Amino acid sequence: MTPQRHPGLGDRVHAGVLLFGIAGVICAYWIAFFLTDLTKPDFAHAAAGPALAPLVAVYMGFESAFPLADGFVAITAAIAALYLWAGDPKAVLFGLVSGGGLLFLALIDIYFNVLHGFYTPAMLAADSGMQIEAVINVGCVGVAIWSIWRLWRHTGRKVGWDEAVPPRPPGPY
Amino acid sequence: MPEPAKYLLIAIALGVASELVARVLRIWVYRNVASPILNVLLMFGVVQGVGVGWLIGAHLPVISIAPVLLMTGAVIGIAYEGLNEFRLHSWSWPETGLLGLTRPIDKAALVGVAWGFVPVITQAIAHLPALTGRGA
Repeated sequence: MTPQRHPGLGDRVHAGVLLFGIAGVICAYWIAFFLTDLTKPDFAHAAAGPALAPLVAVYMGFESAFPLADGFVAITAAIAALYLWAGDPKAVLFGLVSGGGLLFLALIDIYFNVLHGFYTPAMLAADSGMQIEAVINVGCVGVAIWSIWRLWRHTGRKVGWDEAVPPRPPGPY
Repeated sequence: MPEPAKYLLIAIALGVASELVARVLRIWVYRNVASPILNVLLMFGVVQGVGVGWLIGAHLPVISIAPVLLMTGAVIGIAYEGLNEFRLHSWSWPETGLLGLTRPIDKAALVGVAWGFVPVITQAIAHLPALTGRGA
């Protein structure tokens, strides 16, 4: 049993965001991706015609490369939530890893969509799947930056550093 | 045999094996007799075997869906280990090290991640030719 510590409200909210807002949403996204057409753009639905086959192949090939890396982000986010709730400085390590990974993957996804014309105003206006993807991309960037910013200022980072590095002996230098 | 029942039985078998190993090596210790039974039946069998393994992965090739099963099983597992650490206290961690880890919270995190392999292994076993009836 881990000794009971009481994380502050900010840390509890942050742990909830890491567990449900990042890890849970990533899992839900991929479950929906593999079992339904809900998160796919309209052109990639099962009923899309053969004329769109090359576009579908590019899009699906690209998206299908993400689950393992997304799984890494989801798991590190859940571990960070566990440590944050326990008041353990390791939350900073796992939280920064998950935040960096989430930001990296979101930027790859955004640039792919921009390069292939999936984020044009016309496409975004017409395709509900791309609207969902845009919201997810923007949400990932925002949550990742917020999480990194908060953990970098977290006292757990400073406590861990102070414990690991002995104070510098007095001069002269 | 119906597919969900097959996944349930495979996951329960994995649970029994895990509990036996944990008992012999004293990796974790339960506080009452009912906890390991509930753990094997509900968490291994129903949640990870049927809920994650069968519902998500039954109709897809193992190689395609394994990352999704791993992440979902691990996130549920980490949340479950956290629930035990902070609320349930149904099992505890003896002083003996686990892969170099000695603190309870570190062991809970490691075992939480290990939960992710339960639906992956369950699905891989369920897709073996001998169990699908598609063998030579």
